Amino acid sequence: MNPELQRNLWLEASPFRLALIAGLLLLVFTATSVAPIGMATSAGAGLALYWFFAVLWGTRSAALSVVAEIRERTWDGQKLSSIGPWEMMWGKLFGATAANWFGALLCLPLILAPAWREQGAFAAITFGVILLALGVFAQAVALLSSLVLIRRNTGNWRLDTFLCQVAGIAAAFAYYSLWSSIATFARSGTETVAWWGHDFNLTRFHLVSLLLFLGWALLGCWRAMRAELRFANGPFVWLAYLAYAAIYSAGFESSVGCK
Amino acid sequence: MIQIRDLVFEYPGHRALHSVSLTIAQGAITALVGPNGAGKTTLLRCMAALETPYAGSVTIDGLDTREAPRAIHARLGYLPDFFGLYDALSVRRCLHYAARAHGIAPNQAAGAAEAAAAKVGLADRMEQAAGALSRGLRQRLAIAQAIVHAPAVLLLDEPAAGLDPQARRDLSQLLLSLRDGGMSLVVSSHILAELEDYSDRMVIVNHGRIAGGQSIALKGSARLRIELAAPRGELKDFLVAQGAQIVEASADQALVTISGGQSERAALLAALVRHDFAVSGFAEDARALEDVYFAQVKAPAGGGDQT
Repeated sequence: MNPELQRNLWLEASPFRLALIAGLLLLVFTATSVAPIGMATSAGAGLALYWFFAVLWGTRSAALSVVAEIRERTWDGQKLSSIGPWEMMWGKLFGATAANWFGALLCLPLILAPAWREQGAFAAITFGVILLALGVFAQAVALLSSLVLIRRNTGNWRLDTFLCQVAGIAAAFAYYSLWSSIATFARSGTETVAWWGHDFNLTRFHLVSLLLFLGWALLGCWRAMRAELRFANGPFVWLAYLAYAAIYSAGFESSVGCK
Repeated sequence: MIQIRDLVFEYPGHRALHSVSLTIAQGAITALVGPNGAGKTTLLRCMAALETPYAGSVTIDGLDTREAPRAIHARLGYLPDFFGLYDALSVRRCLHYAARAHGIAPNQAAGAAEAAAAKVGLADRMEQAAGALSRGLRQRLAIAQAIVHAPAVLLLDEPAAGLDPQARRDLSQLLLSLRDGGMSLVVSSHILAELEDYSDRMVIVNHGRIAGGQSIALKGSARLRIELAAPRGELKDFLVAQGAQIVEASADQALVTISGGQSERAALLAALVRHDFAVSGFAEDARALEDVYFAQVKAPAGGGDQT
């Protein structure tokens, strides 16, 4: 196993912590299942708790995966290790957030069950993929921010962690607000998005956009980790991202022009 | 083993190292001493390829720290002055992680962890949490983490700081045993009195320069005070040509170290007399290491020369 992932699992996913999370969720879901109709649903509580575990707390865990190493003076030891940037990035991204994902994944079946019943398997799976990608995206943005921020060497780890957390949460909310607007569009009869003169299914377009931006965030984490581990980075990936962002944004503008 | 050439390092608005040149011997313990802020830690971090120098080079086993930092990391262990441990992990897990992080295969990591623990005397505390260890034992665990992959070079920044006398003595024994096992060690320290117990050579760093321009032999050599009745400007060069290492020198006196025993001293004296140096004093220098240190630190800083 990736040693960084293994170490994070030892530290973050202790049996006691996992049992505590499972017990807490059981308590909440039991309460919502017996709550009067209209007050709270298990799916609603599940979605709120998913956001808490994967985004609110998850971004903090992801940011601390680097900031805490500096605070605890273990970062030099990690930089001297032979763990590659790819392994280090995955080990931190999924290891430091292991307890968060344990809680978030327990919430997922309760969130998706109503969608499965009412809209079918494809819609439920799409929603599940979006929620998972959204969680990883928020955490990747927080991790990337922390890797950029530590170069400033402020010494204020609380502020650094908070800023990285805010960046991750903001990225997740920005996407989610777009995603949740689909229902509004659907009510007004619009189910497609025009991009570079072509119509795309709104749901699929949002999903592919999220996965592409997630890919860029992960690539950014990998390159920032490379820089920390004393590997040289060329400028081309950054230039490619700028070109991608420009082409992606211009696609909407060109459609406005066409109409 | 370690070659440092014209190394310059700058922090914003402050030059920490001024064209430092130095050779660190293989299989020896080299002590790095100097006042606070002299540049010892910066020098160690440059050796560890954790900092990129502004100019100059550091090579370890022929590898340049700027060109192959990762290959150098595989060859060395480094213990920072303020090190951290994963307090919630047991000693076994700390060492297992360190072994795996240094590229030791999963099926060999447990063995490497136990071997490192045995070297530092922690074999009976494998299941204890790192956070529950005393200061001295934490130091041992940190050293065990740094040597778990059997590096050729071990860099230690103030390893004796905060240790009680018994722990310091144990540390000296540990460093000697690592050297005897073939490791080259560079130890930064403030505690001069203990350096002679385990160090083979001493490098005095002052104001970002190597005081005297070179390292000073502490073991297997004699420290001699030579005094001349008639000053000769070429005394220093002559002594260097004879194989002596200069601690301090002027036209009428010099403090040098020479390798070997009585016959080497006799040969040096004979050479001086043969070349018409008016030798009025030639005796082993009885001054303590601290006196040599303070003499160098107070003297104008030198730079440049190779040991």
